[in-house]
Amino acid sequence: MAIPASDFEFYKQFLTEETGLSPESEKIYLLESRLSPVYKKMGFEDLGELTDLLRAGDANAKRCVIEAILDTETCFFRDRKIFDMVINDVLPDIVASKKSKETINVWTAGCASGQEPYSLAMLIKEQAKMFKKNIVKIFATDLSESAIKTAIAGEYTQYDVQRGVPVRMLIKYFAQNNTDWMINKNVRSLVKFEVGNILNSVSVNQKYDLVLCRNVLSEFDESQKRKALENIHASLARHGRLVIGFHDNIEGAKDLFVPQADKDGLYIPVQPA
Amino acid sequence: MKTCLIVDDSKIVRRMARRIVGEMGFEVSEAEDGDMALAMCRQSMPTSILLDWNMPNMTGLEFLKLLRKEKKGDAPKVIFCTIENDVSYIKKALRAGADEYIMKPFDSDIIRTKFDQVGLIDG
Repeated sequence: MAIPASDFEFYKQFLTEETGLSPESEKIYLLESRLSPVYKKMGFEDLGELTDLLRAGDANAKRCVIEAILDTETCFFRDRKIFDMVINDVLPDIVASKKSKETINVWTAGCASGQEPYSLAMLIKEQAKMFKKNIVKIFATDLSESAIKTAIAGEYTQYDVQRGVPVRMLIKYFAQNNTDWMINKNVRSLVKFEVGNILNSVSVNQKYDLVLCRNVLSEFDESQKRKALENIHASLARHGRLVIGFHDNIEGAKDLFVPQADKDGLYIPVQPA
Repeated sequence: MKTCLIVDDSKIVRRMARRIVGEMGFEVSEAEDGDMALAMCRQSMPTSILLDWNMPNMTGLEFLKLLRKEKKGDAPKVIFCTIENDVSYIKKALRAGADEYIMKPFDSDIIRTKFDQVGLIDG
């Protein structure tokens, strides 16, 4: 069913406030198609009833709508070249800057259902020699509660794993459970998951040596992107690095980050003079 | 041009795989069993082979072992594509010289990913 213009404006404001995502009017069909299963599952006859509940501030309706709108589509080793760059160029530099036994802190912001941090954790296990004098901790956040639940469970379908995990890594780092595959404890132990919004101020208990924020910035408008990049900048160590996705850019925050020459998607935080 | 030999006794699977691999820019040929595939490889060794496990005359595993003994038989990238999804099968395939392993059902995303992982896709 079509969303009335007044309801679309309501959804636009609601989603901007809650998620940072701001759907354009030409994407109205996307909103309809994602919300249709939500109202049906809740037993409503049409979207209007769900909208009324949402307007009344119902927490469950709010959660269901946010989950339906967030795009948590991802896969293991998505954009393999980025992972090659991180493991071959970025992390060796970070390791070289660390003293023995110092922790290397990584944050993957917008980790969806965990494929990105687990991909990185597997590569770190593969390169164990490089990290023998240091501990690596990966902190992974996403706004979607259900995505984080999936990530913590660490169980993926045969389809999920085959869209990215090379078979030798699959049998090394996953345990088979019929047609599902469970990530091993030794990989899981490197990653800590939490629900979090990159647009909220980051509580910086420790600074991160590397932040991966891929395919998130492109979803934001300019002011939200600026806010997200300010938060990332505040969370990065002086020598830290930011990796963004191929479709992301840092327009509007060039005073905060400079691109690293010859490395697509890799940025260095600008330090105050 | 890169070539791919699809070895599967199911005509439907061969047709699906041909469409996907063909769209990836490969010149595709088909064999319905291991004997036929081996004869075709002796004529002209393909760049890649998409290989079923359970087939008449010989299994995909037996075909792979014979292929790797052939002159230039170590050249093709061999990707199993089979209903057998137990780890013991995967290990046997890798020991026999398979490069990758697809558990059916498959789609174009999975085939493309596996071909990419074994270096069959440029860029």
